[in-house]
Amino acid sequence: MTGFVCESLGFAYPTEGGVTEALRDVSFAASGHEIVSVVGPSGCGKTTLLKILAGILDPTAGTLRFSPDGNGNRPKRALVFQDHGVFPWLTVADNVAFGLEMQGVRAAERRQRARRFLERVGLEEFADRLPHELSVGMRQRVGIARAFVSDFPILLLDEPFGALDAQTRLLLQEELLGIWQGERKLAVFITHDIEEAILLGDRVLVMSGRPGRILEEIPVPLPRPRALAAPDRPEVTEIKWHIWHQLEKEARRQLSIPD
Amino acid sequence: MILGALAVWEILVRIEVLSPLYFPPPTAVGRRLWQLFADGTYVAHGRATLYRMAVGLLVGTSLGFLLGVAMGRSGPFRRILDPIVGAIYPIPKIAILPLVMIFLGIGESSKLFVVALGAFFPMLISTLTGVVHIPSIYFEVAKTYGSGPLDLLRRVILPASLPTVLGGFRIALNSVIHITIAVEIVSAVTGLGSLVWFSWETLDVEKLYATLTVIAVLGVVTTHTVNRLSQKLVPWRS
Repeated sequence: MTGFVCESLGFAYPTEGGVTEALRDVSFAASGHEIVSVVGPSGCGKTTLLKILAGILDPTAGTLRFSPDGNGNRPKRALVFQDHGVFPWLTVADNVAFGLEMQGVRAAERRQRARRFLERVGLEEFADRLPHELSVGMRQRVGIARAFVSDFPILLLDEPFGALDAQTRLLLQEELLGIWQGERKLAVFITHDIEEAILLGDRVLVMSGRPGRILEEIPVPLPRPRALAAPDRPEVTEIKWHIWHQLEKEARRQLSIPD
Repeated sequence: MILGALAVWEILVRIEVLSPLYFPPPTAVGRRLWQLFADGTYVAHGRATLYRMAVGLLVGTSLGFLLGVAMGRSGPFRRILDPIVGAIYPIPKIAILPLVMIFLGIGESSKLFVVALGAFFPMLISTLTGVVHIPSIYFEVAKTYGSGPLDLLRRVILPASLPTVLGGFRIALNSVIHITIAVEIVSAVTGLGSLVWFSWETLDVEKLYATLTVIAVLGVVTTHTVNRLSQKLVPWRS
């Protein structure tokens, strides 16, 4: 089964004033086809954690172990960014097929697979357009389609809807859930939006301010498939306020404001 | 606008406000220009100039681009070469010609070397700037999808730095035009630059103006072509 275990992960980097610690003692595990949401205050190291999981950064402390894929290698991870993650010089179809191209999939097949996914996200008529001709929301759909079409077992999403207006965000959340429901991958979803974290995740990891640590792990007791009306349910509201108070405490601590 | 200015010039010469010795009338310059085209002078000398420009541009921009990518991608390499580039770049390339002629002789090689050097530096600096400023997110995306070094060069570094690289190519082209003409004035018996110098030596002012006109047209046509090409190559910047 696809999965990974983080044990006491830490990340520090040299700065002019000495060493800045971004993450400290982060331990959690994820496996199967779950969505793990991660929330935390700004600058708490959420993106750093995701980049370590993606293999872009190496942790400076602790270990990260992946359960090997069928070939005995680390399972591949697809990353979806908040914005600017699509290449402006490639057409929408070529962007979506980028991961397939890097895996050596033949041109005809990757075109076909990219088209199929573009249909699923409603962008088939924009296949030959360049990203600057699309809205921010459409570009995010391109990034999501690229991650899913590459068929990597692990998805890492870094605030993919952070730059969108509320209505577009709601639509894309729904779309993401719809695709995930069909593809069922292990996903780590970074967000600063508590409702979004609860709505999409099977559990929510709450992170502290810098250096980021896992303060709490909260299971989300909502069945799947989920409806977007779910946040109105009392148990969701309860979790939401619980997380909010945790984050408020962290924010006060960071700003040295007494409770 | 240009036609109006030429008409005023023509009239001022005819009413003897301007001396034809320094300002030959545009009609006379035009006739001379046509005659020099018809007898093959401009074709032969233009070909020599274009050859030097093309070889210098190709060699200089290619090497400048390759070194620019290498310096842009490697911090240590950049730190070693930056001071050397900074020291050589400001030297007027024409001033290096005598030194180059000591090593390469007075033939074509020394001229091509100096012209190529004129193209090399603008291309190197633009490529370096373009590569250094590629947003790291593109490398991160490429890395997570398993791009190898060649994929990275072909699919990320080249297109992402292309707008700046093309800017460098335009500067390199202008530099190549200037240096080619200067090199031909100083040390060549062929090329449009040598015609300019020969016209001055023989006080053939009509030929001087006609040749300068050809050089100006050459500059406008090549710059315009590269600009059009740039728009086609980077449509995402439109």
